[in-house]
Amino acid sequence: MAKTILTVDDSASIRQMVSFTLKDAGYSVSEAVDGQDGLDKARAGNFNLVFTDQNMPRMDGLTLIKQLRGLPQYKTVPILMLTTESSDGMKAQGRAAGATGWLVKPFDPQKLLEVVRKVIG
Amino acid sequence: MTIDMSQFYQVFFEEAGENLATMEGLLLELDVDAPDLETLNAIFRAAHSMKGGAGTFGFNDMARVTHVLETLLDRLRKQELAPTVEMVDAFLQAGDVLKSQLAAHQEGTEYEAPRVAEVCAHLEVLASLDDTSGEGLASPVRDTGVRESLEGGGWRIEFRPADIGRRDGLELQGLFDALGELGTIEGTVPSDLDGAREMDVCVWRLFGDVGRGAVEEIFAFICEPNQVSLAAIQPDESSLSAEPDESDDDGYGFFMGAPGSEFALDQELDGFGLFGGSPGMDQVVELANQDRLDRDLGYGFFDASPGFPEPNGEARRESPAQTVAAQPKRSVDAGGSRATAAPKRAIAADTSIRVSVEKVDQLINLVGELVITHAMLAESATVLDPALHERIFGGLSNLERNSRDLQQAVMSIRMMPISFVFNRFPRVVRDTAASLGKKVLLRLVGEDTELDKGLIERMADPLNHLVRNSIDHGIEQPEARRAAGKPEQGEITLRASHRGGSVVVEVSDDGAGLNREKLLAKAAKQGIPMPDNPSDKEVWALIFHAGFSTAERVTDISGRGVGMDVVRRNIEDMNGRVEIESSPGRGTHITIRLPLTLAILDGLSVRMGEEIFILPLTVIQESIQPKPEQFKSVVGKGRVALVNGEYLPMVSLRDVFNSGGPETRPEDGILVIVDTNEGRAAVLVDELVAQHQVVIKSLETNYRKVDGVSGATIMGDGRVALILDVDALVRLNRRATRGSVRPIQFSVTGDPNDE
Repeated sequence: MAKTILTVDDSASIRQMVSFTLKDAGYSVSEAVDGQDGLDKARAGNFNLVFTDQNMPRMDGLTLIKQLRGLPQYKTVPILMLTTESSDGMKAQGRAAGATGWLVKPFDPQKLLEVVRKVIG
Repeated sequence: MTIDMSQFYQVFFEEAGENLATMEGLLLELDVDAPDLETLNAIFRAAHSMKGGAGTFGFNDMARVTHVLETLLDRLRKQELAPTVEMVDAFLQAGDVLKSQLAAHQEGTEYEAPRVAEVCAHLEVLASLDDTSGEGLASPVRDTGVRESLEGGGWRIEFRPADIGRRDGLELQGLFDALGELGTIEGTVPSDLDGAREMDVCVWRLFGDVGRGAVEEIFAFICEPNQVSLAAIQPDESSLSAEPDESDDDGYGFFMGAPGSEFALDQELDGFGLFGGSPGMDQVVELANQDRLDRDLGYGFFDASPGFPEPNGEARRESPAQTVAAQPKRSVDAGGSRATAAPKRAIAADTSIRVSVEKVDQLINLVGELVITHAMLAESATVLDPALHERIFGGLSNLERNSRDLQQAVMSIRMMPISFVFNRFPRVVRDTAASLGKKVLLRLVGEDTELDKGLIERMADPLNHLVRNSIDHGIEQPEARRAAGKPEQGEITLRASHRGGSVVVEVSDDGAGLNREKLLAKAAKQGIPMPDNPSDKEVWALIFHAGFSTAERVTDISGRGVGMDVVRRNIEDMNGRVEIESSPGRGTHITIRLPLTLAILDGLSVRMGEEIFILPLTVIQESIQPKPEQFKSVVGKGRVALVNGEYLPMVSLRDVFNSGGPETRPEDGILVIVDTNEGRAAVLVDELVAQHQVVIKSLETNYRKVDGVSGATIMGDGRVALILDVDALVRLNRRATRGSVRPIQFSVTGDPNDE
């Protein structure tokens, strides 16, 4: 059974790129367009890994991470935040919200795969 | 594995275009004096999203512009700075630059203009406005040279030991110490780098009042400038890293290779990182242990000690399937989750299709032929007795109704809301008003009004001209408005509506209005003949004369008076008409009337001699049976007809088209009063025949342009009838009256009772 990954991003092009790259590598990928959508989709399925952007309409990434950590099935699932803000302040907030790690935007497909393989194999 | 990024470009282009449009719309709606935080956030998101995409897909020029844009926007949304009009201008300019860059990328080229650097520099200046207070930048602006050192802050130094040929721990220690002499340095010097991978990165933090130059100087001895990345750390960031819970962050930049250390310690790699102790790390650890185990089995004995970079097995990287199999964990219905996404896309694709305009036009043409065929059948049926051929007549009326419905349905395919044109005006008004130092509010009414796609495209230029004119010549400067007892902010309204069979587009302003005396003086100066006591309408119509401009000062906004005549011609080309109303101090109101479509029109067929002509119903006001005393000849105006106390120029179709035939007395004919761009006129015809729906066939493409005629149509009996263009007819008639080309018949047919 392929590992399942949820990518949450309001940018369709980034979603498409992430999705294509990960599917190409044999993962099963679902997409969500913002934090709220991400939360709904995450509730509906048990993903092995969640990627979330930070700045999104309706619900931002940090809120999504906090909400996910409140769900029993996502207590220990790796959640990575995509961020263009590589500042330590952002990382500290991410850590506090319960993120497992971060990935700096822009990133290329190779980098994405490197991270995913490191985290869920 | 390499992935061709270009396959995502199209989505990015569309998305960036949408983001730019969103950003511009929000910027225009932003009230600088009372900014709405949600709006600022939304603008930020648009810029941020573009930056992420541009960087990811390698459009670095766009990424650079969006970066500076985002930097300033970030300060605004964090309320560190208050938005100003200047900022909004700068944002809009940056949006324009991005649009150009986007367009260039879509063409496969790059947009290069000095403007790019200017706009970026301007934004940077704005973003660092209160920098003089000694506070650091909210968000570091990299490599711009804006700030060379940061008091209380420092530098984040990032490099790959492998890049700079310093793989030896001792030499790195030397470098570390040298930097340490400049200030306080934090970071780890790996003792042995044999296990380091190409990708591993050293991240050090240097605090203190250290100039960029000083750091660069030290690195200059050992590597190229681009191999080391320097980023400013702001003061609050440096204090943050001194917090106790971050104290074990010595491991930044490297993995601590000891089993289990992944769980406890932060791991910062090139471009991504993992938080030690965070939820989800146990899985990563498990994986790392598994990895270590695998490797141990594969390579024999390998003792990783703390401080070691994590050797991420290359073999594993190439065979994800294996590692997936090695970790049979959660059972998630992958097929199910994919299936939920798929139908949604399918629905979106099913609800609309893209069809080329040619296909729709072909359909319209066929409907036109159907209308003509129906007219022919109806014509043939007139000889039949309705009582005897009831079924034929029933069928004919059904056919008529069906073809009318079909025609409407086909027409609606070509219809688009006028918002496609209107939407550009908030920006036009804003920019034009700003460059003239005027305050103008734009109101858009009836944006959902639909009209033919072809008309929409052709409306853009005339409307643009009218709106700019209103701002330039109509709306007064704020001081003048105040003096006149009006609010400082002028108002321009763009309104669209359906009225009868036409679309009405109005441009109105509450400005100074047209100046009758000035217009008349100008007309006299330019030698434009005017009647002794001209009506307002005649005076206002002067502005449509070629080369007529009343502005004392020629501006780059509305030009030199070339324009209004072009505006009128453009509108007349669409079978439309334009009217002006104006009152001094109250403003100007311009009304444009357009047919719903260019393909079919409701017309009245009239007979003149043997010929049938079509008059568009929209221009007809009334028709009367004239009496001989209603006709007069006036020097310089030719023949006129007195209708309801008003002398109207009279156009005789026989004279204009030289159709010959036996002379008839005017009072035996019918006068059709039509509305033209130069006021009302009377068209003399022999007989009114019938009202039809006619299919417009271009005369120009099938024959050549004929003055006074806007097109042709095929009648039910197969004859061709010309569709009259009353504006051109009146002009033609006036020229014939004044000029030497006046047809001979004209003087002969003058009413002998007159003068």
